[in-house]
Amino acid sequence: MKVLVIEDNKTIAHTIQEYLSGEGYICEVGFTYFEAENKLISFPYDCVVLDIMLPDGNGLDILRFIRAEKIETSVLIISAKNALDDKITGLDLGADDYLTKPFHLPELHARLKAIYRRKNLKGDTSITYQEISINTDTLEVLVNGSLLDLTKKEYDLLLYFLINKNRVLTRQSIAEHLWGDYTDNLANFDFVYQHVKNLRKKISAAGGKEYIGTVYGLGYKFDTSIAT
Amino acid sequence: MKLINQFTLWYLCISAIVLLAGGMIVFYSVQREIIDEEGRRLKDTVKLIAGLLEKGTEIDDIAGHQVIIRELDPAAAEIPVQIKDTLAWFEPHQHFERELRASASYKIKDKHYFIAASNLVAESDEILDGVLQSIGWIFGLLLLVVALSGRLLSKAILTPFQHTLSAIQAFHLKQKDPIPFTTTRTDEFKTLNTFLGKMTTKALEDYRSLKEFTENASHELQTPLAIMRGKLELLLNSPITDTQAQLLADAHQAVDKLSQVNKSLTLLARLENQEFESSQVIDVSQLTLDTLSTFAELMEMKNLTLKTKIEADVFVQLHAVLASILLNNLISNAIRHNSTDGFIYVTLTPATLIIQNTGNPPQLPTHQLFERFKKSNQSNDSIGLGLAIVKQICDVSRFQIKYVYAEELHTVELNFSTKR
Repeated sequence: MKVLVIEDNKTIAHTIQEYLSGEGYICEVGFTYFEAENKLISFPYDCVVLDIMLPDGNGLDILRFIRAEKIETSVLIISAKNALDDKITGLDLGADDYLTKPFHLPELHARLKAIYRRKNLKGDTSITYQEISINTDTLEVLVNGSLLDLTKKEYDLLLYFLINKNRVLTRQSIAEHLWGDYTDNLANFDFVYQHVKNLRKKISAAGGKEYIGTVYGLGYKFDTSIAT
Repeated sequence: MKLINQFTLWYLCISAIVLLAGGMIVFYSVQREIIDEEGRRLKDTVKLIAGLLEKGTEIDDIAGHQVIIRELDPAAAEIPVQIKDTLAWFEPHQHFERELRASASYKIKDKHYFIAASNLVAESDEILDGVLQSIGWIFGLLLLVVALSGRLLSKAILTPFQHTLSAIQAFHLKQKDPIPFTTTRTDEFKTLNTFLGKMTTKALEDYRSLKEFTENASHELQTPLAIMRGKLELLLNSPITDTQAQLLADAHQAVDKLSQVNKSLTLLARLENQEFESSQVIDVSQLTLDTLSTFAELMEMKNLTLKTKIEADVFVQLHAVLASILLNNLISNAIRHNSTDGFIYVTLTPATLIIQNTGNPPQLPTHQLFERFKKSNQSNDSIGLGLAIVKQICDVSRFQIKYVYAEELHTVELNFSTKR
């Protein structure tokens, strides 16, 4: 997957680039409106990560540009402005999703994956890793061919793990992923632990391996080195 | 009470007092004039009769009705002219009437005559009646004229004031332009309009700069926070030792907390800025059910029993985003501060939303829990802004909220119907 990150803050842009490259993406960055337009005209991208505030223009205008030029790409808006108007305008202008800064990198990755799946993999709605297979259409999970009885949250959690394999997922990041913004009340809850515990139990009951490991003090990690 | 009515009332009160005093003055002066005039006339009559007697006119020719002439002992001293105010029997009306009598005695041609002339005069109560009647009429007339002319005049004079009033009422901090005031010739209104104009322009500017500051602060803080978080997450995934991981974990948690605080404070500021106009109508029944089902798993994990009494089709005017934050915060609070195997009761009627939960008694007076950064348990990890946000949302939406702890139940009661 080829991603263009349009973000005026170079540090953030490079952080995103580094993370996404680590996930095997081809990731390019553009720091200005001008640069972004140039790249969009010259090269095709599967997805654009777009910051609303740019030094030489408004990110929303890039959305209008993409639309006007009929460029085939998905757009994920990232903005420090949690202003609802921007959100609605952005989505109206054809953006696929909206993420407020500061976000967790695994969250950004999960959103990108979700957009990509929705747009590009028509018909192919399964994500498979070893004995675990997820059908994102029917929300069903199979382990060794047998159906897992997961709650909605456990399903979301497993998908989050599978998308961010071998990445440390902090409890905070998981909590925000499962419950969205304003998880103040839940942030340091034991609930994340409970969900992970239940998910592990269900997977191993179906004969799956213990991929989900605890990273002491930090969170959890879907460890693929277990498979071998 | 309307200004014009107050003016009219006061004016009439004062007029009534002045008229009463005036009436007294009229009464006394009229009475005095009548008595003086009549007295003088009677004295003249007595003198006239005395003159006639001196000329030799017969007594019988002069004496008659209201005139008495009597002979006195010639040796007695002369009586000087005097006026007496008495009562006399008035035959035709069969009652006593006020009578004025002038009397004197004169020694004319060796004879001593006593002469008295009398006349009936108007009594005090008759004069009073007259005076009162005329004052009554004057007052009535005044009432009519003042009420009518007051209304007409005030309408004309106060028009610019009414314009100003309606302009202020329509004023909203979010509008872009200052209030357009109509021009007026009245000095006071000119001053008022100038003052209001300055004030509203200042308010608009302040509001704008506050709004800008909030957005900028949020943006300026979020960016470094985003960088810190991003770098920490990259670092987390690099090969590190356990000690380093622990250090990172603590830093990461601090960043998370900071960004939560920032997010919540920004939200609070935007609520105070009235940025969320609640023109939409929300199906609270459905939203409550949805929110409860979102949290169902959490309740299950804590083994909480949920009892609901939710009436269908409860619609409330509230911004959709605020509605979901409100319910999220209240319900997650009820779960978070609950004890294992506890209870949650949710009751929704068209007028109120009541959320009750079991749990440890609060260590602060319950109303303080709505203040920012006040937590019942200072040591726990929440940032203590959840209820402050709830309170702010209620203030913005003009709901009433109260938090009571009684009979081992925490009760948060939200009243939708108290829209002012």
